[in-house]
Amino acid sequence: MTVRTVFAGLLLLWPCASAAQDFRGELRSNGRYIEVRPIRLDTVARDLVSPGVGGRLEFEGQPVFCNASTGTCTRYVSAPVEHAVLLTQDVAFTAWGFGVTGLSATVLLRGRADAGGGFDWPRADDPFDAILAYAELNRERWRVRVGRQQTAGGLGFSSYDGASALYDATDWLRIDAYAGRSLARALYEPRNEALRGVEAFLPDEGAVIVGGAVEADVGATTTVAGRYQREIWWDRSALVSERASVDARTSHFAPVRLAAAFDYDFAFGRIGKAHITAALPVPGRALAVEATVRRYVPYFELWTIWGYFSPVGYHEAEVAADWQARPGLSVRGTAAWRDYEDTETVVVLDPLEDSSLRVEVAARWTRDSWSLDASYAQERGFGATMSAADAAISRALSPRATLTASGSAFQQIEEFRIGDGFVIGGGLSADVEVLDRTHVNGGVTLYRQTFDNRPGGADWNQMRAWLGLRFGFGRDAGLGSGS
Amino acid sequence: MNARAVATLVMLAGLAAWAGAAGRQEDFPHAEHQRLFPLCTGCHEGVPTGDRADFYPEPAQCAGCHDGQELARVAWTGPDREPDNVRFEHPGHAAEVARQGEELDCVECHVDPGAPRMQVEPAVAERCLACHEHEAESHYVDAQCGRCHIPLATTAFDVERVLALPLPDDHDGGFVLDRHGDLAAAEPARCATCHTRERCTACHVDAAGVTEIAAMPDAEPPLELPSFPAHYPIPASHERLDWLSTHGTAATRQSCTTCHTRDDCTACHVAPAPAPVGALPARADVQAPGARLVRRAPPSHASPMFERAHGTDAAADRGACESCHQRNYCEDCHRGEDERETTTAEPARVAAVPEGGASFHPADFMLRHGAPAWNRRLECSNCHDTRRFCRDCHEGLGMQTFGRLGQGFHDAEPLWLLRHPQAARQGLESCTSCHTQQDCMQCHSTVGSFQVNPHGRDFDARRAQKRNAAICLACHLGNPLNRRSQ
Repeated sequence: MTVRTVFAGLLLLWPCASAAQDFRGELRSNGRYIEVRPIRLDTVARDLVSPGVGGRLEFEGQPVFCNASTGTCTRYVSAPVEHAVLLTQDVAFTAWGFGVTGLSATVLLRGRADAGGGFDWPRADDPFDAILAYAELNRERWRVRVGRQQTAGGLGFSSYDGASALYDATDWLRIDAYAGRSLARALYEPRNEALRGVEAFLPDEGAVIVGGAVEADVGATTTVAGRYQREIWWDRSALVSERASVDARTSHFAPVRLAAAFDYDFAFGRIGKAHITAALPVPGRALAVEATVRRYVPYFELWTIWGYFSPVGYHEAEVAADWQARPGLSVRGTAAWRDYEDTETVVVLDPLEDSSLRVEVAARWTRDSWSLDASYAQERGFGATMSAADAAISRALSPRATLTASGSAFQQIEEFRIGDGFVIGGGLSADVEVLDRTHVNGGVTLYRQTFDNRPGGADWNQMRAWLGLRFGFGRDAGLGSGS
Repeated sequence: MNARAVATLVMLAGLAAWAGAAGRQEDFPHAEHQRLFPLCTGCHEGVPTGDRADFYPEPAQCAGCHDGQELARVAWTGPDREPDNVRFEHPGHAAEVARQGEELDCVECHVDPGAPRMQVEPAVAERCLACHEHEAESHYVDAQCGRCHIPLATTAFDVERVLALPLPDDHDGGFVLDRHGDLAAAEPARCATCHTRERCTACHVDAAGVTEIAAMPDAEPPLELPSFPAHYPIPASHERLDWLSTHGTAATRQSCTTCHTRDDCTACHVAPAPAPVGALPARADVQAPGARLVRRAPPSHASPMFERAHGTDAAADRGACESCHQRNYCEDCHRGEDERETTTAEPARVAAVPEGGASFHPADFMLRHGAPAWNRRLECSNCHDTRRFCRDCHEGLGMQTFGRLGQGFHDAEPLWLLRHPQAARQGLESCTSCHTQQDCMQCHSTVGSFQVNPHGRDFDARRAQKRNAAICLACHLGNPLNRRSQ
């Protein structure tokens, strides 16, 4: 399928390319082999279970859930190992010079296929996505795009089939407006097609997206952008979303650099995600320090019930530093602490954690053709806790070939699951530029996963492997050769 | 100082230069012959006439004494003449002096005052200046070079001699950036004294369009030029913090083409490139290489936190991103469904992979994503659809829900149903990665088992209903804001 998709894409592109003055593109092929070990429900006879810690029913030390009406109990145990082989093919292509100054065409197509294995990788059954497919007309102060495109800004990514116009009103003011058929985020299809049969309460019709942004340079050092976006079902019966965002950055207080943003959800009348970051480079000490205060509230579209469940946000303070300790040696560290808002809920027994801590330290050492990376991270949250150490050593065998060996060890505790898991693994990978703008990379990793205090979880080994090919073609405007 | 004096100075300077050059060769022992040669022209017969063939005696003339019997034979043939760049000839200088009713002996230039007649030394510039007052305060800065020197292009200098040319005091650090253009327009002869056009075209991308450069003479044999590596000092404007974001407004062919070819622009700008780029010449079409810019991430990209912070930059100034990145570049990391593998210990430092090739997550993220997902810092649903990606995969792994809710997967919490509200409000996105809406509605609905109200204290029902009244009916029988119905 993937091969057919690629050929079909190339055939579609060929007339476009042949009519163009020039073009530039890239083909990316990726194949992945993944082993997974699912879990399954195991039925246990009621008379085999016995009261355990705190009086809860257990079998072989593992808590079980008993159904009084059926007289049986269930628990989760490991299922046999399965694997998946996923192939993806991306075609990215931009052509320009069709005899009209400033006219260009851009596409980004993706084909995918499940090439084997008993495990179904998500979306492997969806063979084709047209992620981008638009024509663009550039004038000195105007830019118009028509077709499938994406807008990215303070509200995240939004894809649509439609038109957009960007107008440089002055040297300091830019106005952006767009409208079209709205596509589901990360799916590149209308919601009623992409989520049919998957979600309840989904109208069987498309939605329209309308939005705009104003970007203004305030002086030479500050830029501010405001964005408003509304999505509404085709029959105008209800909104899918109505949000706005403001993003700003400034180096007015140089050397301190500030960035700040927030978004606002009109349906719930609340600020969603927001942050302010101050970055301070200390050149004399080869040090960069950043401090961030952020707020996070999840966003849900209005046709689901989730947003109406009043999810709470958290506030987090984070400090990070990057230090070039000596030539070839850099050390960076991050520490963050967060506090969740009051959930206003009644919780039986002890309340759950409502704060979390995150710490990460990493170092990179490079010398000649060698580089060594090492990191340690710990996350202590209300839903899961993890402690992880990683290391990797790379050697550039030539200017075009790099070989990397890596190792990982981490422990993860899911707070609402019995027991914890420990993983240790290592692998080899290589990246080779076989020709100019043609890269082949691949690797294999092996992991050993063991469980502690989880009787139903079987220790096991798993393998991951991948192979990728990246091939660039065409050229940039004005360049005699590629790159 | 009048013109005649200047001319004299020039000639003397030439003599000095010539004599100095000669002196650097095998010296003739004048002092040992002082009683033998009463006249300089006895040996240097050609000097007064300018006949270079007779500047020095023939070996046969030496052999009159150095015959191998009385005195040892010698093979002295006089020094080789080295090329110079001075406007001086002996006959002309002598004639000029004679016209002024004066007489100039050789010793006046070639012998120090008070020294014996045959203690001959090369004439140097100071001897010229003994008679000719120098009009310039700084010989290499404000003198009229052309009065004494011929253009470099017309000399026969070799590479070594060209490299030995003095560096004027005003050719300091800021000279190339700030002054040399104006000076070249005002005093082209001064430039030509030490430079040829090749020196200009070594750096100037737009050399063909600059009048001053066109007026410079080309180097011709036998002149030999060293290779001049192009040098492009960075203007102060380019050092400004906002230069990266504002240079587009200042970009014109006239302002950029001194140093830049369009190849410099397309080192960063992606196709289709901005209009001023096309106006610049391609590197292949000009002699100078241009500044040869290389694609390099801006300082902001070097931040260790950039991969998480860049969203604000991109949102505030999207054009800044799109100058260097094509739209599909974002997809290199924000690709959602098939994470590619990277080195575990160095996850997605975008600055290190300007052409992409990295995945946002570290290599074994699928194995360890539980904790980062619960403790999320970024919105996973920006790149992953919760239903078609997270839930699909979790269902395949056996983590789907089965009808009526129990403790199920959350086996560490025997009373999970009673304890889940806080977890749900704190991590609702994680809940939706396994649970469907119907799972929650078993209890949180007016037709559910317990009719538990899921709305928080600050929930503004009227505001929400105004934007989507239909979803209210998912849980409520009728208009919930109408008291007679639910």
